[in-house]
Amino acid sequence: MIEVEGLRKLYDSYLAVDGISFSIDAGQICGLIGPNGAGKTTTMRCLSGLISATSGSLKVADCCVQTNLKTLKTRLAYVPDDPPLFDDLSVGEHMEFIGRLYRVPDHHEKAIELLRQFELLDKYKAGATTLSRGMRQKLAVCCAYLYSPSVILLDEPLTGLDPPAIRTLLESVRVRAAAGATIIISSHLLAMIAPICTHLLVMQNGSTQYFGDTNTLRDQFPHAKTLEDAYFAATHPDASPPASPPFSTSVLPQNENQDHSPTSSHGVTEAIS
Amino acid sequence: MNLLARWIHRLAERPTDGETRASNGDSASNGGSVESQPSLDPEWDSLYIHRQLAWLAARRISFRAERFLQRLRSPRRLLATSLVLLFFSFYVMNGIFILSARAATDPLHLRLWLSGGMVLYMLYHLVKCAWSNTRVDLELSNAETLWLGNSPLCRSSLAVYHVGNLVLPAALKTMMLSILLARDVRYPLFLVIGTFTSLMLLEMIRLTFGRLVSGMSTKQRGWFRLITTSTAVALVIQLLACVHSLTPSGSPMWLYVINSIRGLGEIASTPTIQVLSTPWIASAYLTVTESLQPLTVVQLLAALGIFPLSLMLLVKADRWSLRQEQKREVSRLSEGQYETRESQSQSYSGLQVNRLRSAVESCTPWIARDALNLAYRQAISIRHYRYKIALSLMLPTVLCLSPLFMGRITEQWFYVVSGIALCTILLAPPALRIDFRRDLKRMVLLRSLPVKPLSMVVGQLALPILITWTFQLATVTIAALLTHPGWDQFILWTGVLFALAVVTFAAENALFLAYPHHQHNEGIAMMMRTKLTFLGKGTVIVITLFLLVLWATLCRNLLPEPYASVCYISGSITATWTAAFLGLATATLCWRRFDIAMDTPPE
Repeated sequence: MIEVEGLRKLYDSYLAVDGISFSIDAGQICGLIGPNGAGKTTTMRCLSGLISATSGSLKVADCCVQTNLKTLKTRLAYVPDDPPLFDDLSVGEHMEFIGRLYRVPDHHEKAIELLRQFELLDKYKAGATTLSRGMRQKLAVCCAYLYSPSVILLDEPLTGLDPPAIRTLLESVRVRAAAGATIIISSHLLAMIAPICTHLLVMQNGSTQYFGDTNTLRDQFPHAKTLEDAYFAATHPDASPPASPPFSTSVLPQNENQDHSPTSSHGVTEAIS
Repeated sequence: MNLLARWIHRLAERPTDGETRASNGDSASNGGSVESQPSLDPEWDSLYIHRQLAWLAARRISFRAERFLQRLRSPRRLLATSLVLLFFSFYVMNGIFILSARAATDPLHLRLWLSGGMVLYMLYHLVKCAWSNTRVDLELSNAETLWLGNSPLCRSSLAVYHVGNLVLPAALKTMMLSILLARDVRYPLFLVIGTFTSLMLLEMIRLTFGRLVSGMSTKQRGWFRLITTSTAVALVIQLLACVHSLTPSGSPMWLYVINSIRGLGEIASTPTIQVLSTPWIASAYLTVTESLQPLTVVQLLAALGIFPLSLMLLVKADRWSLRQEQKREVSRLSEGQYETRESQSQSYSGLQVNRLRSAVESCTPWIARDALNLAYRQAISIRHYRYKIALSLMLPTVLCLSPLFMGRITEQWFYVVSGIALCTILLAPPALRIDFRRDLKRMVLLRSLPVKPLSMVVGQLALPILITWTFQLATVTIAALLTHPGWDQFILWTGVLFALAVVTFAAENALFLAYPHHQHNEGIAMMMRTKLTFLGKGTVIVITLFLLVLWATLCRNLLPEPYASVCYISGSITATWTAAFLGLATATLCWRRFDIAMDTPPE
């Protein structure tokens, strides 16, 4: 679970995040959306403990971020946008290092399984510098999944991925949430993440514009037919939303009716088809 | 290297002696505000974590060693490989056959120089650190920040890991120094241990101060700048006074150079510097050990024992720095000293036109506009490094003008001009890295710009060359006003020195584009590169001087006096500017052949 109360973050003299509060339970998937510079990445970095919050209370995976950082990091995975890799390690060595560091039992077998799932097994011995942008993203996700964290923060994970990889990733997110993980997924590809999100956190200028489950958002903006429409309504309440692009035909998800079983992927398929 | 990796692998595979996974033993789980609660995390990690970090380091070293060997065999790097092997063979042969035949240095002096020399080097680092605007966070790469910073590791483990990465470069430097000093000591093993521990300690103190400075407030940093800079200035004055007293009137320039080194040795031996060198005393004593005594064991233990002590200091400094940064952040927030996106957009008053830039652009022919725009981009970032640049050029200016204040040497003008040439070739390129060398990570962007190769090179090199010209012109003008060498000399040397600046930066960038490297790379390749570049520059200076003297002699012998001077000046300026244009052409060629896929080295 994640509980945030009044999070504020100051960079030198710029207030990037201004008092956001939200709470996400285990098994829930929260879509973190907002325009560029809204404070999404800063929020994720504060939650992961990579940077310290200036003020506010942050409790993640039953740990206080400020006082139990080390314990928190054994239970949390953060995958940034365009993750930097060790240029002098191969794909397999990245997985092995993470397995060793987090003391994952049978990490080699789990690594092979994850790499196979994300179609990276043939790159096992390839150096990190030879990987494409999407492959780097997939390797970072594999490393994150290897130690089965209870909280997963994915910052723009779909960028650079091909359609099958997007399908695999979104499906894996759904499976992990069904197994009890709390997940925040930040993305601008609203139509892609809409089917799997149970909650939405809409940020703008460092503040919360909306937080709640996706159905409530639809209720708040009854004229919104798609997630994009709702997003525009939340971030530009005075402006009329622009016409939805032709590809975003999926309506706001009916999460209460969604099947969260590991084998179900119709929502994802629909979103990317 | 593979053996090392396998050994570390076996070590890392050993059972964990009952260590339990941290996640099983979690107790504190209450949320709390940022300001109120101290960290409950331990300060140090278990041995298991350090074994895994050692495994990582070994894998990385193994990869780099293999890549290094591959590069040595690569036809693309044949020239560089041959030069490296030649240099290394020469260095070792020189150590075995020439240096071993010289008279041994007095052990007392050697000890004082070793310990005091480290203090002087530390002061240099402190001044750099004080004026640097970059926030130093244990000097981790982006990948290390993500994968290690985001792992369940204590900050102390990151510090240990980083210090561990410094071992190899320090070992290489030790090897080079040991070859030089082997003749002066009785026990080579102690020489190696003493030198290695001294160099490692220097690195750790540098890192510690880097962290301390990052945590300082503006006022504290101001005081730190004042103290370090005034100490450095005092040392320079002391050195000048020392050289002045050591060198008789009318001595040749080479004696001044030799006495400068002697002067440095004397300053290093002074009681004040020796007091400051306390952390290095044990290593220095160990290095010059003349007989094995119980005290030698104590010195050995003290030299090795300083490691954990300095590591603990580094960890404490890091913690203090993080706390101070957090405190100031909280304080700024509570006092409302910040901007929000709304306030930023309100303060932005539409399109802001830079009138100076527009005026310069309108006067620039269209063919040079691309280069001008690139130079403008460099100019913006110069503001960020202004103190560092000013400091880097102030010292050379003082050194170049120092012969004018000695009053007793002949041909002061010649010495000033020689000093400027030396500074241009040796000091300006490392001080002004605002060209291709800082853009390795932006090569794709530079390549994608619709700019012709020559314009790209001119635009990238324009600012560092202009700054060097300013330094040269200021120094030459002051020297000309004081020594009255005549207009012909002023024109000759200004023209030659300006061309020299162009050649220097063009060659430096051509070399970088042919054999690129990351800014903070260390290791044997970088060490060899530095030595070879230095030797190459020295050779260029000697050849240039020889050619100028030859040209002057020819002109005087073949032409009558008024024509001889004109021919000498115009010929020298033409020749050096031809070399400058050739240098630019070479840099352009190197930029044209720069292959982003093949030439960009891994970080």
